[in-house]
Amino acid sequence: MLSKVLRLADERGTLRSEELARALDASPELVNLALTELARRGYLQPITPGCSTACQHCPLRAACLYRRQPQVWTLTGKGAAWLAQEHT
Amino acid sequence: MSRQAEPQTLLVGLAGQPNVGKSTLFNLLTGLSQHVGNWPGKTVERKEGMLTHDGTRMRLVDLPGTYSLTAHSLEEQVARDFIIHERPDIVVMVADASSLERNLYLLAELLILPVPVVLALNMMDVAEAQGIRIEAHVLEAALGLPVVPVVATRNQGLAELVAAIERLAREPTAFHPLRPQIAAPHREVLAQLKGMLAGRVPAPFELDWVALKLLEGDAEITRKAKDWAGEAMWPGIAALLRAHEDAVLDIAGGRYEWIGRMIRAAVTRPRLGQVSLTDRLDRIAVHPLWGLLLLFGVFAAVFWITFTLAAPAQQWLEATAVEPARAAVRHTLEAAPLWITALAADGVLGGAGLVLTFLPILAVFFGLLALLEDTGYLARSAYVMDRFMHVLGLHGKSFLPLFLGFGCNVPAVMGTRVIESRSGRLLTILLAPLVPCSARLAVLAFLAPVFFGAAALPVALALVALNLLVLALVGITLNHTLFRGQHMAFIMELPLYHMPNARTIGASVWNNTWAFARKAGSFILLASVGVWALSYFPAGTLEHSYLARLGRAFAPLGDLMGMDWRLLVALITSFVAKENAIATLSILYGQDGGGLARTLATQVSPASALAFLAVTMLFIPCLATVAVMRQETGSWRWTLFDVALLLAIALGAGILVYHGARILGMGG
Repeated sequence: MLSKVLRLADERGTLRSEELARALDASPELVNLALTELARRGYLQPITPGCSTACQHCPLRAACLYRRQPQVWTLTGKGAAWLAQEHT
Repeated sequence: MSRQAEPQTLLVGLAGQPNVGKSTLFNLLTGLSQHVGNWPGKTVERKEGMLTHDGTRMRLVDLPGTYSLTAHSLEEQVARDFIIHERPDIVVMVADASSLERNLYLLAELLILPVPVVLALNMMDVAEAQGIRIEAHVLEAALGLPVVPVVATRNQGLAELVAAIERLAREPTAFHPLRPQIAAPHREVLAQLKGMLAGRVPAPFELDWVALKLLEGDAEITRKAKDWAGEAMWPGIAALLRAHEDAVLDIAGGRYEWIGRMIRAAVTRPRLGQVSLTDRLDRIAVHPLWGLLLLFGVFAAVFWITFTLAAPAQQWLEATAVEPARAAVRHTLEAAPLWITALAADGVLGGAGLVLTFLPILAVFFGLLALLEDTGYLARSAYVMDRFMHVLGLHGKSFLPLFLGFGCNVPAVMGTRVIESRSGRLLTILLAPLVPCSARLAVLAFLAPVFFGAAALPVALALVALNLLVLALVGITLNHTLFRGQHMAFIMELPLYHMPNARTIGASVWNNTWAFARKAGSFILLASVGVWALSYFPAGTLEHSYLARLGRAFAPLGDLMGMDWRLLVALITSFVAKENAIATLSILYGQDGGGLARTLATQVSPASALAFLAVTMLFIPCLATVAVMRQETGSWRWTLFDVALLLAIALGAGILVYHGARILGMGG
């Protein structure tokens, strides 16, 4: 399942975890676990759009519009290398 | 161990993840016969207790709560060591039935250890309350091990659990679990590893388990195996492991597939097979075409509501608060020197005071955005925008900071830190100021109705679209010339839609309007006084002021865009903060006391007004953004390049818009 997640992310570019769940015939919770596992193993990296890192000292943080941000996962170098190896 | 002294006593380990009700179950089963100590050499608490059932004595050990058995933490190491070294007769895996997927991962790891397992499905009541139906007998058949539904808090299912433990201990041959499998290519590698380690793995470790954990990259087992294999054998093993370091994808992936099969077999959720509200709404909200149209429609609605509700409130505040206050100040300071009266009435009240009347516009605008945010829609718009970015061929991660730019360009520039590649980060920093920030949108919300009345909504939307179009064109151009964009894979977990919370929205509105009020009382006030001073001295009249001289120096440029020097000066002062454009316009146009809106409408032609708004939207960002751009790029060269680029774009757009508007008959 983990390799399927990486392949699907690579094929589709941007996809929602719901699409992933549907494609894998798995529940959203299981997909979330798989994504966390891939991140723990260094194939994916969770990224937060800005506020948790960049805006830590931002004076406008209290006024920030984006609190319920989507959790975004992106490929790491390790994940990309694995996919490149798959392609060859 | 004590089992040798008491052969009839069963040793039972209670395993499970944290917060699954394991301790409650342990307390209920053992009652007062508990002993609490520490695990040898560890600071982790060890709880043991006795239980007698139908003449069978059981020594229960409550293992620390762990998410897996990978020895990442002290707790995981303790739980794993207990099973390997103390070899319990039975391990009871306590699972939270309402979160079975998460819990089954631990079970998958337990099943590769040489110990019979009973699965206690605790919190069945919670699962039922959430509409989750688990068919325990189906799960039992699928897993190949005893499964007992339990509600520990109500003392339900405990007798059945104890009976299942006893039965399995009596007939261990009945334990034939269906374990997770790994893919064929790695089965071969596993066999090779086992061959290399055969005869070298000491008891109580099992060769199969050690080989699997090695292939999985388990740090502790790798250390041990290095010693066991010795210098002669280890290099070969290490080379094999290096060649298959991605085997973990297969091994852990196999466990997730196994969990998926178990869940599909035995669990039904109310949402499965049906289309939930979120799914139904998302069919439109994240659709490649409808999603974009909806996003545009939502922004249109935000502007329309802002214009309809807030613009009249702003005008009312101006007419009933600012203008009477200015008149009162003039009256009170009649005897004071003329410049003091002018400073208070025109500089402070006419500039910063007028900007404060923005508050209704901002309150409505931020209230609507907070509403969209709280319902979960804004996260969808990020997804839709990301697709848009991909179409443009921009760096995948660019959309995240650019998305923040709608709030403020400062966090947008800072947010580029999520992009690893310097070229991608630089490109995004250069593009960030083209995202219309809330300050520019507020200026637009104020000026569009002043200049265009009933046509304000389409004009405002067209100007926002112009910004995005310019952003796209600049992005594509820079991406294909200075930078090389790269495709990035993204997976997004979007929050579920939910009813907005009035308190959350109220807090957002309050925080934003308060932040704005402070800005009006500091930066904008200072800038207003500065602009006023430059517009008053040395002659005491606007036409012969320093500012008029400065503005007239740019007159040839202004002529190209149909703007007089006052509009140009308003643009220049917007560099300090975007709202200053209004304060400056108020000081320069509002001195006749007729109200800014009326004066602007009579003195500025629609073509000039449109050009002014287009330049304002595309103009160089505010001082704070430029400072952050310098900080984040670490280069004055790139910062000044972007400032020059944006200036050229804004002025070019101003010229094109002005002449285009004249051709369309909007006057000159």
